[in-house]
Amino acid sequence: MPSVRLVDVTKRFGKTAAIDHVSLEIREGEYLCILGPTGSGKTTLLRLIAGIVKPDEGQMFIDSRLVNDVPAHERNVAYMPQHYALFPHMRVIENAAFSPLAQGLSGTEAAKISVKMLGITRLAGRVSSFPAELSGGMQQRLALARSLASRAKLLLLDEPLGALDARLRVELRYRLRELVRENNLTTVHVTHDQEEAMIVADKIVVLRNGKIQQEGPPEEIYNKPKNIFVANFVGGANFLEGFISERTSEGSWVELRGRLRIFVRDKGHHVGERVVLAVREESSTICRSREDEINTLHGTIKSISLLGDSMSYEVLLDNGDSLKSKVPTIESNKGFSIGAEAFVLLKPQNIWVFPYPPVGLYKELEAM
Amino acid sequence: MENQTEVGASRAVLYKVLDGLSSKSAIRYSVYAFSLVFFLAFILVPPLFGILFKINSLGEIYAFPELLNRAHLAIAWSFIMAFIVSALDLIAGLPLAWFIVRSKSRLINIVDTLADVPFLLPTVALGYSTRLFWSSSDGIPRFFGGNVLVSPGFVLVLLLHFTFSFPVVVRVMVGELLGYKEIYEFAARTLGAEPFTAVRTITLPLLRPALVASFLLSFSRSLSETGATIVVAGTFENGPVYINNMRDKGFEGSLVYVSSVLILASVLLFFLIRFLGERLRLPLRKVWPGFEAKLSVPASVETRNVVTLLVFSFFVIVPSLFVCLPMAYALFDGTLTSALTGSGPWGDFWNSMLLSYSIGFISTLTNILAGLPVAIAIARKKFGRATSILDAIVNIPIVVPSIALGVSLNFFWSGLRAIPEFWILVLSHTTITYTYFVMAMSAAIESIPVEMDEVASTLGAKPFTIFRRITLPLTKYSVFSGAILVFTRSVSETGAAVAVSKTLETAPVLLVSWIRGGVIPQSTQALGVGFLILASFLTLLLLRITVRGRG
Amino acid sequence: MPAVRLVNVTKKYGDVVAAQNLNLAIQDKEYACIIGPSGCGKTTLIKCIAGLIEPSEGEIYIGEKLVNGIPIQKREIGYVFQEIALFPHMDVYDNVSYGPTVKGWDRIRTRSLADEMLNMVALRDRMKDYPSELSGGARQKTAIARALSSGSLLLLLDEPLGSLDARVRVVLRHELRSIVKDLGLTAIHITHDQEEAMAISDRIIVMKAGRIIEVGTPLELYLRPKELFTANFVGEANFLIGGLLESTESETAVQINGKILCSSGKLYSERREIVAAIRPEFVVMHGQRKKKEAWMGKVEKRTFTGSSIRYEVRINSGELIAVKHPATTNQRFEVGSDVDLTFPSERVLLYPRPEIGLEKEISIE
Repeated sequence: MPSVRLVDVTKRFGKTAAIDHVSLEIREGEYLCILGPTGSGKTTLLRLIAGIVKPDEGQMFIDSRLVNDVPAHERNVAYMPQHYALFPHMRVIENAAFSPLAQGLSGTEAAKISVKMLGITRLAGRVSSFPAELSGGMQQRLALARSLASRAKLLLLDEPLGALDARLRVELRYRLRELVRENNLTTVHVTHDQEEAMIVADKIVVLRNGKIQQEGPPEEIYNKPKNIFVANFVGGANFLEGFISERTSEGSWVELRGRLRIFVRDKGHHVGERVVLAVREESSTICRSREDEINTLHGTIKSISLLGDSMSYEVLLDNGDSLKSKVPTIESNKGFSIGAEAFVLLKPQNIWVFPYPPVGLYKELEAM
Repeated sequence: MENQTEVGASRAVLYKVLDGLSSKSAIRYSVYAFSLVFFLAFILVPPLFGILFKINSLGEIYAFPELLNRAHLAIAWSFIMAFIVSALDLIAGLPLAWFIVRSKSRLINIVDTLADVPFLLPTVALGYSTRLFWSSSDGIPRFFGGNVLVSPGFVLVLLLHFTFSFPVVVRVMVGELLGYKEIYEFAARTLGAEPFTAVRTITLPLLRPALVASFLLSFSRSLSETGATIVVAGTFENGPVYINNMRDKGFEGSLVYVSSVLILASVLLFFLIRFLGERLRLPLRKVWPGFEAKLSVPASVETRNVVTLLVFSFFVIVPSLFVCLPMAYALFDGTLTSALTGSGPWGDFWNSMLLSYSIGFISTLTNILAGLPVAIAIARKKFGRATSILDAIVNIPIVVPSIALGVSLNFFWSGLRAIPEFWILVLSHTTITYTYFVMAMSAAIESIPVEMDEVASTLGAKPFTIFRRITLPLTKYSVFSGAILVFTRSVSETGAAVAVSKTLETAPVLLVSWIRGGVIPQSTQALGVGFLILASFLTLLLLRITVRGRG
Repeated sequence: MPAVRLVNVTKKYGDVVAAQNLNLAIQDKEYACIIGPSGCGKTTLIKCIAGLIEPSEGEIYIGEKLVNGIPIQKREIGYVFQEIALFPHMDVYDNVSYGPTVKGWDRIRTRSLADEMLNMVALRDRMKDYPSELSGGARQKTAIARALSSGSLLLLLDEPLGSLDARVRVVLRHELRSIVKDLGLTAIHITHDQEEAMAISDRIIVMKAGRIIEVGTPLELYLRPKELFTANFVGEANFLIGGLLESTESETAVQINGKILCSSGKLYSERREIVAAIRPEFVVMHGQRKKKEAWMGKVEKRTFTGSSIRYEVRINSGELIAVKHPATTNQRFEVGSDVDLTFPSERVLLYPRPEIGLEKEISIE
């Protein structure tokens, strides 16, 4: 199983740096997700590893071998672009056999490998079909089979589930993960869907405008976001603007709009500093009556939506700020209705404090 | 199971060697460089700069003011004619293209096939047929109780040029309309726009590049056309006719003068229109809801279609095919026998047919081999930003009037060293047709998403394998139809052939001299033209069969 | 009076039936979502309403008007395309004002309506930009503003968020609903994303293979789906096949592989073969206490999904049950630990076992 290392890699298109001084390490057998919005450079990163584009600066290593000048066909990687690029004039079996044949294997050997991979991806019954005759899900599996047949141990996937229906995506992400594990592959999977990344990845790298924002296992990214972008992009959150009004030994007091005060455990900012508070919707608990706890905020319910296993309540606080509270559907029979009064409880340990962004909070959140 | 991929041992070795070579970027780039050098040395430079060899003779023409005036007039007429014809072709061709793509009529297939006819007819045949139709007692004039309805001259040339540039516009627009996403029109209609309004405000502006391209193609064809024009010109003189007249009389100075001006002007105009066309705006702001609603009513659409089809039939198809009538007569009055025995003028005829076809064959082969790398280079932008410059200058050989091109090219090669006439003929035919092949191939390659090459590469395929297993199979149809196009065009070419010919006569050149000479009887002329047409149609048939085969 | 009514609408393409016998009424000012897998006929349905396609059989009413045969431009609908389809050669303002311009409205009225719509989608400062200069989300917002400025009261949305990033979808869908509700419009929104439908619709219509399977509010479809397909398509569910044991007024007991499952729902069928369904978030999991009715098993897999944790539990008798807990819970179960599962009877749904087999019935491909 190969490992991959990028050292200070930069790739420019014209004046813009699509990838900006990125250093990254992918261990053998690891399933890495590169997560970021459209235009963040994630596809470029994948193509750099595949050898389709060359870096302008920095070094790239696959299995400790410097590959900057090694062309794509010598890198032994399996690359799957966003819409698969299946060869339309070749049947399923020929698509699958393309790589072994291109690598110089005999017809019989190539056939053996392709049949095996088509079996694994459950396409054995469609070997004579053309790609245009297959459904979306089957096309994706063919693309996978074709990649697997190359016997490369490094799999590079660009939005592999992006072209599929939502429900199918949910089903197939588990299958993808299993497949990768069964075949001992190192995988780099690019996506803009943070839910998908969290479920499949061993490690997530969050990318924005060509720069790495944070990397780590899913739980760490989710529970300890390093900045507003990561907190918003991965999982979403409530954001409140304010400034530090007081510091105590336990934490800090933050004054929001309308002089509303909230207590946080964070002690890393000084008095007077402008900050943004972030707290996950599921950590913002909605209740009917004032709890005898700190940070219980009063407001009225603006909207209610069902998200499936949870419900989302949007509460307009008295000071003008808005908070969304996510509650498991089974616990939601508390008779909340639109217009009713409610309280939102924010536990101090669940609140993150970030410095106020120079471009302004609205622009920072919108910019993704 | 994998029959196509089981290759014989020797072929496998060959592929392996080519693979190995193709994976070395030095070798790849030298192939591109070599084909680029070929293009510059053999295709671009001779026609543009050959004329410089004779720059001294320019002085001659200033000694003869009437000749000079005539020259200026001829040049002016060339451009005026081209402009009028292109505008008319757009106006008449767009509705026909629309009909072919959007209508649900059963006539579509017939119309689609027929629309190609004037393009594939050798131009001398087209000219002859047109002249018979409009100006002889066998044609239309018969119904008007006279011998002539439209005599050879300006109007006849106009009709001719209109006819033969028509298919170009139709083909380009059909191609564009087929690829056009109707969703924009739907969006406009959901917003309340009548279909006609939607077309005018949304579709037409989006089709602008294609409209400009077809205008340009039509324009350059009209500028360039020689064979048919000579046949129908009468006393009218545009550039090519003038050059031909000067050549007959041996006035080299005026020849050189008009050729140079034509070359310069057409190249400049080409670049001008190419860049201006992007900036032209069409009327969007003005809206006439009531009026346009009436235009969109099914009855209006029907009327429009009928008118379009009538214009098409009467002004394009019938005149083009009219020569079949006298040709049919000629089959039964003994001319056929003499033709087949090669007696009298027929000996020369078959020689020139042989000449035309051998030239055609060689130029086609050369263009495929030399043009393919350039096509790939353009399609995949192998030269970075310089590629768009290459894309533009590759068009020059068809932008320059072919007779002027032939004159210049002839001076270049004769001036350089004594190259046999046959090879100069081959060079001129290759030059004329080079652009068609390269443009057709590069468009076809461009339509293959580059991701396919990339994926193939990551799957371990070296550049030659990608070419062999991906590019070629997916563009096989274009290679074939590109070759047919080149071949047909080469066989049909008159202008450059006329300029280069000293002792050797290609078939069109021979036929032109027959028609203008007045010595050869009409039935012989008709049959000769007929054979030429027959040969061309056989090639057309070959193309259609291949198309059907591809589905 | 319903805003849109379909009566026995069928659409065939030769032998292929894209939509079969559709009967549907969308109420005035309702936000209705039509969901289903690719090829279920939802696109056909919405295109018939818009007039982009004509039905083979049946009638379509918009308001009181029978619209069969009436051309698109006379139907007075706003349409948002999945491909967005902004006119590339016009800037944002011209795109948005295209509708009023083309209908011949005077300049002032056009301007004020376009301004208002651009304000609603917060794109007034991008008026002079061209579509190629905007992000995906901004482009779709422009397309929405454009559809709204034609002044129509019926808005048809064909996978309007399909081409956008996941995060942008989540944010934009709420904006979409707010705008529609603020303007008092009726919206028919088709999507393959059931989460999207649940979050913003008043009612959801579920389609499969050209037919309408079920109609209901998001909560109804989530808590008490009437069809097996709906149970699988809207949200997630565990499916267990078993046999009917006994049925009383208040409870139905089902036998599954030697274990008992109770449901408070009634089974309206003569079939004795049953499919029981329960959503992973409703399964109750405890550390092993050896309770009598509990199913005993081992945690085989644990996945963190952000706001929740998903477990796969292998029951001793072989079944694999998915269990979902909110991440904020205090309980934590490691892979390999022994657990007890209980299934609250009001959350267990029962269905007759389908003739074509369970997998085919719930298949979404």
